[in-house]
Amino acid sequence: MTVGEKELFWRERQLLERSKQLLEAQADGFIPTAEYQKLIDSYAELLAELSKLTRRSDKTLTRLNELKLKLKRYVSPPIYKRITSGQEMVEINKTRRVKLSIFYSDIVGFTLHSRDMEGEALSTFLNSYLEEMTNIINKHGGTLDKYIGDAIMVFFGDPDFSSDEDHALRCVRMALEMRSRLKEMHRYWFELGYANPLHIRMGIATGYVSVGNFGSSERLDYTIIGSPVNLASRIQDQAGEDEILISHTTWALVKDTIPCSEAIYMNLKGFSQAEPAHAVVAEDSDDTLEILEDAGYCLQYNPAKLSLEELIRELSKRVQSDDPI
Amino acid sequence: MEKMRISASKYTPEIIYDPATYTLSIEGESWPENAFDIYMPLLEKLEAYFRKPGQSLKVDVMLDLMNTSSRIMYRELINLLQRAHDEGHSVEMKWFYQAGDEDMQEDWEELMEDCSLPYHIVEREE
Repeated sequence: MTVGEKELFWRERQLLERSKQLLEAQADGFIPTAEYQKLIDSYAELLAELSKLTRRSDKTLTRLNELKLKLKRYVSPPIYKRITSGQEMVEINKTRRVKLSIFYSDIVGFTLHSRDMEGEALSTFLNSYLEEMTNIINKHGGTLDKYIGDAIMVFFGDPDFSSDEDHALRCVRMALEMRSRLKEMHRYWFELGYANPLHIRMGIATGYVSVGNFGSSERLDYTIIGSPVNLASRIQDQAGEDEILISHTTWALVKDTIPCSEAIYMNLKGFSQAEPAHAVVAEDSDDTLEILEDAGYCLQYNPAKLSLEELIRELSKRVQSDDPI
Repeated sequence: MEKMRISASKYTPEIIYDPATYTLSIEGESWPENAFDIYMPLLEKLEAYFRKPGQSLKVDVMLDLMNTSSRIMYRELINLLQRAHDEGHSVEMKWFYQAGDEDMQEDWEELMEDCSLPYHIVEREE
């Protein structure tokens, strides 16, 4: 018991002292009934107070748990864990430089989709998509930074750090799983009456960013800022339907595990030089190949095994030799 | 008797006790580590005040948050004021809680249970 607690419970200590005195008085053969009665009354008061305090404490704990459950739904699980365990100082200007892998995605032509839908249908549609994608983010241990309408921003490497390679790999694998899940969801949406399949664009970049609390003392946002964040977003803008484009730095970390295309140089807004990016094919390159269909031809092409230049060379050769493609 | 004024802090309320106007006003949040240190000087002043016969005091308490230690000290304040009332002093209490804050309303109601001194529990609009 601290000094403060001893002082706070001085009434209880007095009561204890009185009980001892009473016991001593009884040993001397003197039994003061009125004193006993006062003692009993005091104990009854204490019991009533204890019962109120217990009820109050239980109620506070229940309320706290309810708040924690609500908080859990507003922030990413890794950040929730840090806040509730007291590891995260919820203060402004507490940022640090860390190397992260950053993911951006958005739905191709979402504005067009949303124009054709009623408000309620749109929110059901969007929420079912975000729900599925968020489950995948959590499965791979990503930190969900934010939803921006139909866009999703995720990063790997903070608050939980493993290694740059692991962050990049988990990030790309998450994107791959999102892509395959989306294909499964086409069926579900079709059954619900959405005829046009939904496609997403995905972009990933790796690099040093500032991570921490940004905003004002009234309203904080645990987020990241820095050039790789913009790069991930710009690369994502350039991605085609269901395409995953990754920055050259990310590619260097995953290339031994995940097949990717040759570098594609892109002129991106806000970047002075053309930035190299790579398209992710699939983790198991033998199983998944890009399929192009046009004018009765069916072409299977694996960018991991054949560069674009080699493909054109091969096609020209076959066309000239009159070989069926 | 001297006026007592303790400014509010992040964890403690503003306390203004003025015997000249027969008022005690407490406003803010109360979740100090040691509530005894905050409230005991006030209780001692009030004890001294009620030693003179025929005193009167109007008490307004407006708290948005109260920890268990503070609650114990408010229990003491109520006991003191109840005794003063029983001895013939004029004591009136008003407990304010923010609109919709059922927890605080319930806290005040529980604290005032079995008290015969005049009091009001008032819902405060924003």
